[in-house]
Amino acid sequence: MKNDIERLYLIDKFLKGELSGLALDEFKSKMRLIPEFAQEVESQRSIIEGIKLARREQLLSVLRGERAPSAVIAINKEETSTKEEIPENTYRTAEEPEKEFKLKINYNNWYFAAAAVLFTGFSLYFLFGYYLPKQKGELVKVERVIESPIPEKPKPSGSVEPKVAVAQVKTDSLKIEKDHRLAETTMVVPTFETIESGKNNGNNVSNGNPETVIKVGDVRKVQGSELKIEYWQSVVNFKGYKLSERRLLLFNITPEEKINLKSIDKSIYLKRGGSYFKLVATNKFEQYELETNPDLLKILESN
Amino acid sequence: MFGIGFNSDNDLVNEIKRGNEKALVILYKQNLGMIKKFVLNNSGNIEEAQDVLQETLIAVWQNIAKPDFLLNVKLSTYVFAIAKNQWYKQLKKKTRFKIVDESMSENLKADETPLLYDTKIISEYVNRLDDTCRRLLMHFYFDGLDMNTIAEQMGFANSDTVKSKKYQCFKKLETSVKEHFGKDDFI
Repeated sequence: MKNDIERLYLIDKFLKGELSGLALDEFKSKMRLIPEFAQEVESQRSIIEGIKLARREQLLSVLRGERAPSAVIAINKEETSTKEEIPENTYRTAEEPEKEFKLKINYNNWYFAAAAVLFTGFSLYFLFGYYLPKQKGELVKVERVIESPIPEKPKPSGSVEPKVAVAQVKTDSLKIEKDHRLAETTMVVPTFETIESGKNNGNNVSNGNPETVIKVGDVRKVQGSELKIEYWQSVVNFKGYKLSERRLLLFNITPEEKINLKSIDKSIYLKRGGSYFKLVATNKFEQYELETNPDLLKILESN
Repeated sequence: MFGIGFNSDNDLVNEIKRGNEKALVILYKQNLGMIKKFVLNNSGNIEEAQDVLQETLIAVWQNIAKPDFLLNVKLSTYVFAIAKNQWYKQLKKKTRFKIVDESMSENLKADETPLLYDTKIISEYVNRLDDTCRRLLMHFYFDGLDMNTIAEQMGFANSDTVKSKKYQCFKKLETSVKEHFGKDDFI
């Protein structure tokens, strides 16, 4: 068997013109002396030409577009061995693209591993370092809708919406508490004007509109205006007020508590427990601001 | 390996050395325009231009397969030179045509010793071989791949395995051929 293989190999070399010198002389001599050997050489030459013709036709058919080009790609190298019998179909060609080019993830690639680690890291950071804490601990602003136990009267145009108070509520419970209106009343606020120097207090008639003007010290009393006063209970213990043109919302003051209101030069002062607080009509929620001006306090006390 | 960007001369030559047929197709597409223009300017038509280029590329394939092949010029220049020779050969066969440029024409060689068997019939038996045998024999005898390259590309353990397998395949083919022609039925 081995000799047969070597003989075939030797004839191949001769036909390819790769023999030279003594080896070539010996080969030619053998051909001359042994006709069977010469015939074997010719037979092999013919078969090789047939193989070449077949391959040539194969390549031409590829160039003519009659056959798809193929590239030989080795597989399962381990299966082939030095044994005489070699299993068939131990390789496949590019004509089987669905198998050949099937994507296989190679975990040995360092860059793939690095990318996987980075991806995992970012995912964990996003989940545990950002998203969940935000979900758990973040306080969100909730606009609370005030439910009034007292039926609301139709609001005059231009009136201020009395409800919007903002509280911070944990979203864990998602329970929205609301401020409560405790009571409402209407009060005529005594109104005073300071007297400018040079002006007398006699008949003070302005543009034909007679007003009752009463002189009191260095201020004079004019006709008071009506103000609707609402008492509210804040869920966030808000201590303050909200004053618009005709409406005053008071927080942290109960209806039973005795309060007094006075207006001097269009500013309203709230008297509560012996202290005066200046109320500013900003149409926003404001804190109670203690009035400390002694002259003003004196005027407020004396009128 | 064989996708976008596979267009440089070295890449093409290396792939042809590996027996990659896709390289041949790329080479065909790259040179068709140039060869077509040349053949049309020299008494040929489009079909003849395509035939010439196909024959040329087969010759290029075989030349590149040779171990001592060295590309000293651009691959397109090399292809064009062989194509011109191929076309001049064809024109010479068709004596009624006059060759425009005879400087590159080549004398046809006399036929070699007649073959023992009809190669056309042998080629049919080659195509009837199993895929492994057919490819192995073609790679060795036509593509010029050595045993180690064949072992690597076809997944054999080593060159000795290839040598042994090649012997089996060759004998299988030889048996079929001899059965066909009969012991003394030589052409």
